[in-house]
Order: sequence, then structure tokens, then C-alpha cells
Amino acid sequence: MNQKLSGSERRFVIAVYGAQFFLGGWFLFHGANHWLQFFPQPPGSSSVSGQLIGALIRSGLFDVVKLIEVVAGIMLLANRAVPLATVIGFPVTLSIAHLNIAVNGDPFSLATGVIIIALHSLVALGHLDKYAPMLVVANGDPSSRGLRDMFGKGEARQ
Amino acid sequence: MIMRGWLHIFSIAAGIAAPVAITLWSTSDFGVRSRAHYAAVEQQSAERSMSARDVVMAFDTLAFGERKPREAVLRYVAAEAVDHHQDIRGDRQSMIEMLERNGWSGTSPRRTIRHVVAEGDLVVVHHHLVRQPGTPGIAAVDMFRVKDGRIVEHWDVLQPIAANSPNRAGPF
Repeated sequence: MNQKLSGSERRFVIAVYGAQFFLGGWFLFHGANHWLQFFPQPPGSSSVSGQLIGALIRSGLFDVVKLIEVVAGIMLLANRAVPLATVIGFPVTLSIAHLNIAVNGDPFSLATGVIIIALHSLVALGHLDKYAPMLVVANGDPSSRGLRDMFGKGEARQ
Repeated sequence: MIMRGWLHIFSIAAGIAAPVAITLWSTSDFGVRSRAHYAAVEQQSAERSMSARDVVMAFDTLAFGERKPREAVLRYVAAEAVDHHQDIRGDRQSMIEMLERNGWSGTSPRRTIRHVVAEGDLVVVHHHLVRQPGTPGIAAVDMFRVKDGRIVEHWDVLQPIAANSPNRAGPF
């Protein structure tokens, strides 16, 4: 990205970076809070979300969710492997948005749900070209080409 | 590449500072996710997990035992509740007006529960109601339907007790 950016392209890049770093900070702060307790873990802003969060904690799945948040947050803030961070963090974003919009439903929750989906979508759109190969419909047969490309030696990449 | 050097460091700092500031504000005593907010959610959650019988008994205690019918209706009766009593409109406000008109905020009416039957979301309370001290009163049955910790429907059947009844067992 060394070439000169047009005005609209520059604004888009800045918007994507703004979303990416805010989302990264959000994930890292809220993920790390699970272990470091910067603020008390919210028990849920409705009866149902409280039950769900309680079940996640009791089952141990909440540790996994928070670990994903920390890892995705670090990747987004480091500006490294951002397309991957966007993918692994999406289930967390979807869960947060669903709880806030469909379950809690109060104005602050609605705003939170809409904003986190919008930020995450914007980051993904900023790297849409990296996802393009995944979006084919006629996928063909599976092959070991991906494994050879990633782990194989030069002569294997034929 | 735009994102490098000091700009990257500044972006990391801003990216962390913004959600930290929003979270610390929202979870403070002045924020929308204060301790009071979560305490209210917890109380609502506890009330929603109450059995139908417990909801009706809690309503009964507050309305008729503690003589606070308005508070009891607002706390335990859903906003969209329906009352089938024939002398009122049937909405929640008309329930409050009837209870206050019948003197439940004062000391005169008395109510003695004889039986409580609960099945599923329905609770039936058979009781002796004396609105004016010194009168035989009324043999009454109130039936409530409960949903999500709130009374959503009410029926009642009232039988004035005869002063000179031939029944030797009495109404109860």
C-alpha cells in the first residue's frame, strides 16, 4: 500500500483502521478483564442473558470466549493477521450482538449490539479481497494444495 | 503502508483508551450499567423464577397484609394484565382503583385465606372476605394466571354469606 491513495480510499482506510483498533481495544480490555478484574464481570442486563452468562461460566466455555477475545484483540491492535482475527472473533461479536439486541433490548444494549456488528463488518469489508477465494460457489474437489503451499518445500509447490 | 511507527502506537493507545473510558463510565454509579442497574436486573430475575403460587402469595401479603394495594399491583401485576371483575374496566389501573375504593389502603377490610390451590400457571385462593367489620362477609374465590413472575389475569367469584343459613357446616 505504498501508492498514493485517493480521497475516498483514504477515508475508507481510516474508517476501517478506526473500527479495527476500537474493536481490538474492546476485545482485549473485556477479554483480559475475565482474569484481571479491571471491573466486575457484568452478570447480564436481563434475566435470560444472566442465565446464559452463568451457564457459560459454569461450563468453562466463558474462558474460551474470553481467550478468543484476547487473542483477536491483540491481533487487531498489532495489525497482524487481521482477516483471521476478524473471522475468529466473529462468533463472539455475533453472540454479544444477539444478547444485546434480541434479549436485553434496552436502548444502551441496542446501541451496543448495532455498533459492535457495524465495527466488525467494517473491518471485514476492509479485507474483503482476502476472503474472496473463500466465497466461490463452484468449489471443486478438495486437495492438499493448501497444505503444500503452507508447509511444503519449494519443489512440492507444483 | 499507512499504519506504522508512531501512528500505530497512537492507534493502539487510542483503541484501548476509548473502550476503557466507555466501560468505566457505563459501569460507574452514574452510568447505564451501574451496580443499581444490575441489582434491579437480579431482582427481576429472582421474581421471574418464583413459582406462580409464590407470586400470588407475595402479592397477597403486600396488598392485603401490608395494606399496600397500589404497590402490590404495580410490582406483581403485569402492565397488560386483564381483570374479569364485572364492576371495573379490567385493566391494571382499574384494579388499583377498585382495591383502594374498597379500603385496602386503610384498616377496615379483612381477608382470611382458607385454601390455596396451584396448578401450572393458575392459582386459586379461597378466602373469607369481610369488608365491613361486624358483617358476615363474603365467601370468595380469586383465581390468578401467572406468567414470567407477574399476574396476567384475574377472575373472582363472590358469594355473600347469609346471616341465617340452614347449612350447619357454615360456608368454610
